[in-house]
Amino acid sequence: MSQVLNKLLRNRLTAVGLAIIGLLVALALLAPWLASADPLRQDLSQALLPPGAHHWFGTDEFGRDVLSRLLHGTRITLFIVVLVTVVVGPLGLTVGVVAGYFGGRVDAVLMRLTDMVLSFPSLILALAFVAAMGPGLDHAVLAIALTSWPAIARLARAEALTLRQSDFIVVAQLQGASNARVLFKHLVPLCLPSVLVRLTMNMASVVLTAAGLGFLGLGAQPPLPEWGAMISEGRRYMLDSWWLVAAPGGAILAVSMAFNLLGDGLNDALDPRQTS
Amino acid sequence: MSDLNPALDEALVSVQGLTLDLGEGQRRRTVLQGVDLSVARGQAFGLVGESGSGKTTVLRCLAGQYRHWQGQVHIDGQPLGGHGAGKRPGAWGASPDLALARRVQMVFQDPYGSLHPRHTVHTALAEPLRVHRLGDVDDRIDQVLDQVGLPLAFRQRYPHQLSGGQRQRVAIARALILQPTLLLLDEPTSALDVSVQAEVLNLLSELRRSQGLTYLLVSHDLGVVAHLCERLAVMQHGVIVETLSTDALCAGDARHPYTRTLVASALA
Amino acid sequence: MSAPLLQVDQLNVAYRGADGLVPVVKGVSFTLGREKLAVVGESGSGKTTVGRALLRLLPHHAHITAQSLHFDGIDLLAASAQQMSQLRGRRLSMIMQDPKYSLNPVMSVGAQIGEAVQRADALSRTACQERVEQLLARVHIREPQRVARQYPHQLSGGMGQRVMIAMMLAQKPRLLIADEPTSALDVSVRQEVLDLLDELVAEQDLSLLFITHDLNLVGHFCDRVLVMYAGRVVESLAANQLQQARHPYTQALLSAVPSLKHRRASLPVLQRDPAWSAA
Repeated sequence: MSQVLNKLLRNRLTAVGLAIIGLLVALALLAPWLASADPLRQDLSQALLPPGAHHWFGTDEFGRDVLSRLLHGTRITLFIVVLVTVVVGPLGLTVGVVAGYFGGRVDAVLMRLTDMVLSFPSLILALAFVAAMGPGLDHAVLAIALTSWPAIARLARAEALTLRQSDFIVVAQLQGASNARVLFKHLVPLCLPSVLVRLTMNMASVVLTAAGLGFLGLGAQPPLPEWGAMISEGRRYMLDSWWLVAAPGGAILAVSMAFNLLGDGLNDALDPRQTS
Repeated sequence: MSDLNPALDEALVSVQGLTLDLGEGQRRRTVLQGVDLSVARGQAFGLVGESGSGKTTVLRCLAGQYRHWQGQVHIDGQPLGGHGAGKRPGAWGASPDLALARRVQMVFQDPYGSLHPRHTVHTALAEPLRVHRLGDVDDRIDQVLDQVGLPLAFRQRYPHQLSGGQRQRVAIARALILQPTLLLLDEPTSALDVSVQAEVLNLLSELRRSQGLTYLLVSHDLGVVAHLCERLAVMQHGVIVETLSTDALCAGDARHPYTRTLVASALA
Repeated sequence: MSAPLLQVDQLNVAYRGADGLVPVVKGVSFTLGREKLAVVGESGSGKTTVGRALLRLLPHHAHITAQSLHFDGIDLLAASAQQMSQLRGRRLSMIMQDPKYSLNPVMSVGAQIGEAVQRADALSRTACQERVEQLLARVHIREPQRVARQYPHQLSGGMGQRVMIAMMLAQKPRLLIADEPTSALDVSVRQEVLDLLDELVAEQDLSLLFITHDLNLVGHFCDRVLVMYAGRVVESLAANQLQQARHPYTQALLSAVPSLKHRRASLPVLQRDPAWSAA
């Protein structure tokens, strides 16, 4: 574990990514204390103030401090990313590993299901789910999760296909281990590294999709300070009050790039064939 | 030959007319054709042949990896299911044959591939015990490590921290921990250095003697087979061309031309 | 007596690791004339590293030093990357253990040999094709035209190895380094490939450096044998005098092989003496 961390930190870009995510987590945890103002409290006399001494990122049309909203938004972003990953990871892994290990009809059925979901552009499909379930943060999370698992499943299946012929798998079968045991105790631990890398890089697109849904008004509902929703609301005043859009936009950019960098570095760090 | 050739009902392993086709449609080919052999209790039997002769396939049939073969196979008096008798391991809905696992275990050729890279020696040895719900895990592991000559401190090591010879000893220990009667050995030393091979062959001889095991050894190396086994069968293209005792082989009494070629290459 | 083709004096190879330099080849010296020299050792002996060091095919974190490393008058250590690139394949060639991994899986056999031919002389397409078939016939492949159209995965082990030899012959090297060329082959095929190498050495002014772990094999096949242990050469002797080897490691290697002729209840186990890897 410490070796992995070492390798990660040696790559400067990855270290930057890790630092940004660390910052994200820290800000999310400390938001209530760091935010100088209540993100939901309106004060129309302070509306649309540019960035200044009191309000570092200015205020929005309801006089709410943009920085405070941004800080509280980190919690929402983190909530979405973690929840989606926690759902998508095990789901994709299980589907993929089961399909790859058993092959035959099981594989065919599972992969056709995967193909069906994969063939839709993820944002459109997420839109459809949210439209069916009704707008809201929880529904947005569910929708994103339901559209992200196929990529993980395909990856896990590819790993399982190669590994199922290994001697140590045959040994486990010969010892009388049930298929479930072989799958979860022997096969899954070996599929984890590539799945983890993919999940990390997936987090970037989760952030973007959530922002997209929020922008379209289908994710977090006002007055929640979700970054995508903030951009959507700020669009109307964008030309004169650029900070309304730039601040949340910059945050989305930083975080999704950070996840990408981390995933890239993780790929190199976890790859057993890479020598320093 | 008479006292070494057991009557079929006394043999630990008896195989009659084993036939197996692999592949579908155009690529279907007969891999085993009417293989007959029998191994007495406590005996070591060698299967010699080159790649493609089918010798490893015979082992896999006996280990239950293939289920669609034809013929009759008995291990320790129990018939082994062939065509139509249950699904092979790794198929959807297959139920593992725990009883077979207690009777037959296998040691593979590649010491680097037969150990799970993320399991410590302890986990690898404890796994079969857990599957069969056997207790005294630590004691059994200590005992089996001792039998293969590995220090107990190796329990916490990972495969990549072991040499090829040490990994193969762990593989042997793992095969022994369920106390099987029959050990199937698939080229157990061909991936090892000559000096390490000598150690492992000595270990295998010693274990057979002290544990009263029966071996079915597959190898392309006549020298290895002659060292460990009392009887052997020579396979070519899925068929057994000759079965004879090692003494006869070394005395130059082999009759089939293919056997004689193999002997000539080995003596050269 | 002309100078030997290959002169190696005090070759040292070390890898830079996390804790400093790890020596893999220590002070290896030998000469090679127009003969078949075997380098025999177990895994970790450094034999493959010696072969690759000669071709300068080691990763860049390997440190190669020697008092002298001369091939046909050329200083291999001082040679530039371009010079080495000219030498490799043309004057100094190598064939390896498993043709499945050394041949390009997506190119036909004929195309790959053709590439090697073109490197030696620029020929027209028909002339090149003819040469390819000539080479395939030279390595005793029947139906060279048909085999030239095949892909590596369609070839048996023995055929694949002959294709490798044909590729090597295309450029008419002076020295061939063969790294375990028969270890992945069946016993019956092994002899055919060795016989082929024998023929080629005799008729083509080719010197052979044969790297293997099989001491008994080289006893019949090679002229001289170098035995390596832990990076050093522990013994150097004529192949027909193997049975009179004096170093305990060589003797132990010879006696540890289970033999049909001398059956023993227990095989002698090698007692590793730390003195063998020191000084």
